[in-house]
Amino acid sequence: MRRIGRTTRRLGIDGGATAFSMSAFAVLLVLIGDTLFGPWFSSFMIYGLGPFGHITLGVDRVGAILLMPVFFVSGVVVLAVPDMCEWRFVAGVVAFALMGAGQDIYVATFGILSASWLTVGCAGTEALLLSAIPVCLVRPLLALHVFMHVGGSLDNLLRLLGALIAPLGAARACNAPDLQRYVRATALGLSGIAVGAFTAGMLRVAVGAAVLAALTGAGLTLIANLLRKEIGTDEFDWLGGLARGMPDLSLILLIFIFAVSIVPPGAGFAILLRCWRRIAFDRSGLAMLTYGVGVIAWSALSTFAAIRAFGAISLGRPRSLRAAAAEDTRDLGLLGVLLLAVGALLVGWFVVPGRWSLAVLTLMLTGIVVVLRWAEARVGSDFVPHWTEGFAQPPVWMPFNDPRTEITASGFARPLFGSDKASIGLWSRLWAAIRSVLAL
Amino acid sequence: MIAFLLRMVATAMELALTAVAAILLEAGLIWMRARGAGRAPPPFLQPLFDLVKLWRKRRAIPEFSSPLAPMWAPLGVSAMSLAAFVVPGAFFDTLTQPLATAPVVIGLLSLGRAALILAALDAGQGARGLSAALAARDLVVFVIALSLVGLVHSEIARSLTLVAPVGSDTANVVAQVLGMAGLFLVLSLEEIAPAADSSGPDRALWMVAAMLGRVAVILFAFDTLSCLDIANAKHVDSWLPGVALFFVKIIVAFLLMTVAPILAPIKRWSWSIPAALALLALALFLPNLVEIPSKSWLFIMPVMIWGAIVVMRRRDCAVDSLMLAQTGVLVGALLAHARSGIVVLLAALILGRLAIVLSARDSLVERLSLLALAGLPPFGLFAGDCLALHAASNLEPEVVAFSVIGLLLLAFLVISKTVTRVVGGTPNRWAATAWVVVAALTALGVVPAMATAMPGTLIRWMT
Repeated sequence: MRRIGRTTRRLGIDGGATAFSMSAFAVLLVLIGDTLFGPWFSSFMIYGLGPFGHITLGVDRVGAILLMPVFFVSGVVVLAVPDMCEWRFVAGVVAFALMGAGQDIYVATFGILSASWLTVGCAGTEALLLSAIPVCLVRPLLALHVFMHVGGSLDNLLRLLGALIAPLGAARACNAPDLQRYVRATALGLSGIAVGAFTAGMLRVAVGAAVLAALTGAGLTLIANLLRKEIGTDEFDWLGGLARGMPDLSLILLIFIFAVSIVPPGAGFAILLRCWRRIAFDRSGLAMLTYGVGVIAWSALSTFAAIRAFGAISLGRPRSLRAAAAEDTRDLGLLGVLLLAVGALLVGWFVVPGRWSLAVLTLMLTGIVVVLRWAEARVGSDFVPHWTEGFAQPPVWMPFNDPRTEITASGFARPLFGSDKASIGLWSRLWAAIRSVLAL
Repeated sequence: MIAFLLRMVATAMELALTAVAAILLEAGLIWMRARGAGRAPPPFLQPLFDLVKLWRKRRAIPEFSSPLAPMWAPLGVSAMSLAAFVVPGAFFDTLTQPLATAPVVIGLLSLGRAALILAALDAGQGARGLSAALAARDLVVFVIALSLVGLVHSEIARSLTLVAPVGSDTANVVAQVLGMAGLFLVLSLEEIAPAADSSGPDRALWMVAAMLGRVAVILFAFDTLSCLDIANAKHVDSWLPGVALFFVKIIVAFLLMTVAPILAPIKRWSWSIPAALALLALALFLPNLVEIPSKSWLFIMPVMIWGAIVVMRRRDCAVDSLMLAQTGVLVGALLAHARSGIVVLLAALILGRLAIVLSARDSLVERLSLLALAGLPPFGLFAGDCLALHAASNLEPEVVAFSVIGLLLLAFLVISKTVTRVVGGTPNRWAATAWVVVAALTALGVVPAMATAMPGTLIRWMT
């Protein structure tokens, strides 16, 4: 306890709040362990409730995995916001848990509606709602399939829907003006992947994509809150260069953002591998192939979006004075977000087929990087002044030069999407060509 | 134990061959570009000398770069080298075989390119940022084209392994050839990467990454084609032919990469051609998958022909619209399984396009080339169109009639808009070559017409 006290004093955190949040987090961890490693399926009925005279509650392995992000994120939110002890938040978590455990559609609907209104206005609401994506998405699909025996044409329809939503979400992420919208768009894209994968019989991918959406969504939402607190905004066009002042946060951001891309060894890469395996051997028709094309488009666009988001936030020169002055605060909030990032990394491990191949690949990648970095470090280096590219010298109150001479996130997306003023983008030109043909 | 040792030796040889091919290809391309520009080429092994020279210099770190900046170049080289070493080139069943699947290679190549783009963004410079944005856009096209080609291969071969054999169905092979052509266009047309603010060893590493990435895509393309033999790591007697074939592949790639920029219409379409070819490959593959009779897909032919007429009317771009229409006929030939028609059409389309590129603007050769592309006699496309439409008329005569009307209308538009103009022509150093190509086009059309005077075997082969 004395050591904890010293640590909390060093971090500048109130001891009582820390003790509360840590104990709450420990309770939640125990709950997760119980659901994951306890009996795989246990259910009971409560009579006298619900429109049918009874409701059924139960937890199986899939249900436990779906519920895990809710508990995990709520624990992290409690860690990240130490004075957050609103009863409504706790009630919201319980409602989500109820929904996850509900074995019929009535309980599921009851849970999600209750949780939504209970958590409105609480700190960390958005993170909690995003963490409920798996349970809100996969649980109803499971209910539809298992209890209502729906398949066939509805499956094809849902697969086509997934094939459409996945690239749409990724495309919105490519164009998002701020981190919060980026988070929502990536969650939408991953939800599309999950829906399509579920109907294609890839339960592992569906659950993995949904859990990834939950963890990255919640983690990036907490980071967006942190940025708003430290810098005053989370808009890409006002950030930049955070890797210098906030290296820890940038590293976590790197993990989160590139987890939703096809860059190895991230979870997105694992999802692509698993989907590819299924699509290559499936001959069930056009819907499956359309889903395959959707996955390909999602993978290309989400990689673009990840490069753009990370480049705009952490690399380049700061685009505002507050961004230039921002520094890492090593507190429990950052630790909580780091835990979520580790969780997002581990999702890939659970989804990927041939885990040892991925491990070998990662080791080889890391090994070559380390050797090259070591060899490069031996030759020595010199700092060179910034080249102003012919622009006038900036005034003294702009220590990082004029931000207008640097590309913005909006400008970065222009070659792909075009702008209203000049149709230089790939999609704009395609649409213009189609429109010109249709117009005759 | 012996088998494992053989696999280990084969893996080491594969690594060495890939590295040698990367250097030779880069040196050859530099030599060819210098020759094309009328300059004296540098020494053949200049890229190697450059690497040694750059590696001895000190690193220059830009003032505003992030703490992550030193990682980008090693990361890029690491990803590109792994991609190049994982793709089977001369041997299969090596130690890296479990990783030799399309998504792994695509992921690694994406990682390499992402590192390059992030390096360009790192120092926060405007021009570098713009080139990074363009490179990121190209990355989207690159991933889509590569993935579509890989997916078509996986579906046809019903295997994840890149060198898995496929059947000899014409549509499948043509689909793969189209995909491969798209990949080579990606290679030959793209700007090599935004030059990050790097110097010394960093610069050397980026050069190595670019060379290895190029070899990786070449080998990927040949592997998806799958009709070429490759050595088995466990059978020593197959090693020599495998190594010889490896170098043949690199030489063919070199020739394609030097010819492709000439064949491609214009620079601004560089992104769209590979993606269109990849999509076309997928479209060709579709009838195999969804079990729809090919005659139901024949409507694509008149749609493309009449679409070309619309483009011609609205945009006044004769070459593009003619290419669109003839591609429609080619699709019809593929669906009707007119083998000789497919060959003649493909050859004539390439020759016609080449003639347009080589000829001087508004010259006689250009007008003749346009007539050839319009499918008028006595040029090769006329013969190809006839073969294709004849085969298609057995399936859907109404659709063919509609297509023929469209082709005639298009030819009339081309003649009235372009060919009848009074033109002078400008001097062009390639004019002589262009005449040779037009002569080849004419021969391609005239020979089938003279088939009645030929021996029976030749007639059967031609038709």
